[in-house]
Amino acid sequence: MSFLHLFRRGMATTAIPQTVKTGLLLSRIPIVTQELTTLEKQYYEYQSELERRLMWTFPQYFYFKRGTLAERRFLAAQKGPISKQPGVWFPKGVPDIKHNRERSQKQDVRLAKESVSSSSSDAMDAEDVSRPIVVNSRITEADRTGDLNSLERKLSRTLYLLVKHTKGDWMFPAFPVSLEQGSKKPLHITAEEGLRALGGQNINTWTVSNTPAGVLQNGDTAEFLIKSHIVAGKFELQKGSEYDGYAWLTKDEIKDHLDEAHYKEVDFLLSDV
Amino acid sequence: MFRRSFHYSRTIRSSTKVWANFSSRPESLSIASEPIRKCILEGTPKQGPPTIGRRSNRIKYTSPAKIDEVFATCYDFLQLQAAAKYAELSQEQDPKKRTELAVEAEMNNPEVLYNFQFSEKRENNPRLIDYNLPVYRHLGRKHWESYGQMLLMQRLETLAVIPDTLPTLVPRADVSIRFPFSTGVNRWIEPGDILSSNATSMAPTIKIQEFDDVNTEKQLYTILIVNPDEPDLASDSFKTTLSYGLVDLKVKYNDNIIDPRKFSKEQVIANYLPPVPEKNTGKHRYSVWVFRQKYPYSNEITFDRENFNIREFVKKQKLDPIGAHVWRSEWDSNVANIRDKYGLAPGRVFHRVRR
Amino acid sequence: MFPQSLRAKKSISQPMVNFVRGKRTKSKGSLSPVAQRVVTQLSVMSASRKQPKLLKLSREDLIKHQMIQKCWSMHQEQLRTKRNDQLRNQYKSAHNAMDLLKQIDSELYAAANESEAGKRFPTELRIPTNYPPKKIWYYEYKKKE
Repeated sequence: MSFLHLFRRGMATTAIPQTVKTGLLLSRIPIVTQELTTLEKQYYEYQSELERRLMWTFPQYFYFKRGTLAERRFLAAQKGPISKQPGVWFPKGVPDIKHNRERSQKQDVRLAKESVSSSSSDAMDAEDVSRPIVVNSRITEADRTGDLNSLERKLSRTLYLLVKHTKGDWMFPAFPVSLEQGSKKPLHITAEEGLRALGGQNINTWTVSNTPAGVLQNGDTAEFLIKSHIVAGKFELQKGSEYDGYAWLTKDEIKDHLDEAHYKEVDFLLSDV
Repeated sequence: MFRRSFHYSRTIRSSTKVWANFSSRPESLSIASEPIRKCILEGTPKQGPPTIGRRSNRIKYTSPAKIDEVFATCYDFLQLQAAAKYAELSQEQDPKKRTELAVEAEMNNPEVLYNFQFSEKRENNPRLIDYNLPVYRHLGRKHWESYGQMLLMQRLETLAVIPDTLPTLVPRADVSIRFPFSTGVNRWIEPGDILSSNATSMAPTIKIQEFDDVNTEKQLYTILIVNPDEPDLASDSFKTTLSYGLVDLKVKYNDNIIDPRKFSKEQVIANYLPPVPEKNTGKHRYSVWVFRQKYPYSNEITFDRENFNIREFVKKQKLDPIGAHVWRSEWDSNVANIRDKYGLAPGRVFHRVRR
Repeated sequence: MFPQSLRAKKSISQPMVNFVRGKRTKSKGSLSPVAQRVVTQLSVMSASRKQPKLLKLSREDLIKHQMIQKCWSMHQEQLRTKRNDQLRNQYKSAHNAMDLLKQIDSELYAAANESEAGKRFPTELRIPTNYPPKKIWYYEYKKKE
C-alpha cells in the first residue's frame, strides 16, 4: 500500500524524465597551497613571532659535538648576546643570559654558511648540496598569456573542465545514457568513456564515486553529475564532436561562463579553493 | 584567488566605521584617556605604552613583534562584523533580539573591553562602565557568573540557607552588602563572613546590580533580612525572625546602592534590629533576600516579626527572589552594649550543650 | 685468600710515574662518553636554564592580543560554517539525484549504489606544496592496453 502511495505521489508531482545524460565535473586539484588573505598572513606571522619569543633555548651542544669544526663554524655564525657588565647602564634592562641566550628576547639561530667558491661552474652547483634553494614561481607562463586551455594555469585553485557547444554556450561535458536493455552501463562508466571519446585516449582520471553528486533537470532531460579528477595526461578536443572549444576554469570564472540559473544549481558542488 | 583576496586593509567606507563615530554613541563606549586610546587604535608610540607609569619601565618594555599591524587588520574585520550587526539592529523589532544584537555589536570593541577589564566593576564609574548599556550588562553578568555567583551559591548551600529560609534560588542579580564605615568593616562583605556585633550594629547598605532588561522606572524591589537560628524553647527548635524589611524600593542600573537616604519611613516594614545572638546559641545566619515585586506592597498583609514565616510572606506577596546574601554573627562581649543601645531585654544564657 | 688478593691489586696499582710539564693528566669531564651522551640527551629535554623569561604584556597589548585571538576565532568560525553548509548541500544534492535515478531506472540506481569498499585514492595525485615542482604536469601519459 505504501508503495502505491509513493508511486501515485511521484506521478502527481513531477513527470519522470525520459532522456538521461551523465555530466562530468572533471577537476584538476590545486598544485600549490591556497593564497592566504591579509588577515591569515599577518596572524601566522604574529603567532610565529610569539612562538619564537617563547621558545626554549636552542641546545646547540646536542647538535654540535664539543670541540669539532662544525661547532666552531656554528658558533662563529651566531651573533652573541650583550653580556652584563659591572657599572654599565642598560636602558633595555640588565641582560639575563643563560646558555648564551638573552632570555627576554627571541633567540636568533643562524646556520653557518658553507663556503661557496665563486669559480665553480653551474654543473658543480647542481651537485652541491648546500647550494641556495631557488623556488619556482607560483605564477606560470599560462597565467601570463591567459591560456585557458592549459592545465598549468591558476596553480592554487581547483580547475574544472568546461566545453563550448557549437551553438555557443558553455557547459560541463555531458554524454547521453542509453536506457535500452543490453546496452545499459553505469553512469560513471558512460562518463569516463564519453570523456575519452571527446578528449582522446591519453588521459588518466580518477572517478570519485559511482554515485552521482547531483542532477540538473531541464524539462524532459535529467543530467546526472559525476565527479572526477584528472591525474595525468591531456584533454585534447577530438574533431567531429558537437563541441568546438574547451577551457579549464576556476569557480569564479565558471560563474561568468554559465548562465545564472544553471550556475546556482552547481555552485555548492564546486570547490572554493 | 579572487574570492579569497578580500581586502580587510582597504579603507572602509565611513558608514561601516561604526565604532569611531561618537556623534551618536554614548561616551562610555570609548576609552577616557586619549593617549591610551591612541596607543591601542593607532599603534604603540615610540616612548612606550602610556599605562606603564615609570619612564624607565616604559623604555624597558618591548611589545610583541608585529602586534600593531595584525591588530589593525583585526580591528577592521571586527568592525565590519559589528556594522552588519548594527544594520540588522535597525531592522529588528523584538526587544529581546534587539538587546542581543546590541550586545553582539559592541562585545568585540577593544575600547569597551579595555574599559570593562581595567576599571572598578562594583562601584562603577558611569563614564567607563555604564550598566545602562546592554553590552556592559552582558560583560558584568559574565564577570559575576565567573566567580561571585558561584561563591554565593556555594555559601548558601553549605550554610543551608537554602532550604532553611526559601526552597531555592535562581540568582539573577548581584547583591552586595556593606556596613557603615564607623563600625570598622570597611569593605563589601563576602557571603558567609562572620562579623562582630559591633560591625553589624547599624543597618547595612545593600547594592542590587541588575543584569536583565527591566523597566527601572517601574520595577519595585523588596529586601528581607531574616535569621532562621533564633532558639524556640516552646517547640524545642528554632524559629525565624525578621531583622530588617524594606519594600517598594526602586533601583537604577548605575545608581543602585540602597541606604537610609534612598527610602522613606513608609517603605520600612520592619526597622533594623542588629544581630544580638544569645550566649551559647552558636552562629546565626543572617540571610539577605532580594525580590522583584509584581505589584506595590499591600498593607493588609500582617506578619509576626518574632515568628516570621518567609515562605508564606513571599507566596502572599507574589515575590520573585532574584538574589541573596548571607553573613553570620555570634555572641561576643559587645552584644550587651548593642542590646542597651537598642533598648532590648538582656539576653538569655544557654547551656553549652543542648539537652 | 683475602689478603692475597689485596696484595695482588696493590702490585697493579703502582705504575711508574713520569712527570711531564704541561701534560693534562685528567680528562675534563669525569664521565665516560656513554654516560656523557645520556646526560646531554636528558639535558636537551629538561627545562632547566632553557626557558625564556615570562612574557608580560602591557594593558594595551593585552587588549590587542585578546582582540586578535577573538578575530581569528571568528574568522575560523565563518569558514567552518561556510564549509559545513556546502557539505550539507552536497549531501542533499546527491540524495536528490539518487531519488530521481531510482524513479528513472532501477538498474542504473543499483549500479550507482554499489559498494565501493576498498577503493583507493590514486597515489599519483600530489599534495599541494608552497611552490610548484619543476615539471608541473605530466602530459606524456599513454593509455594502458
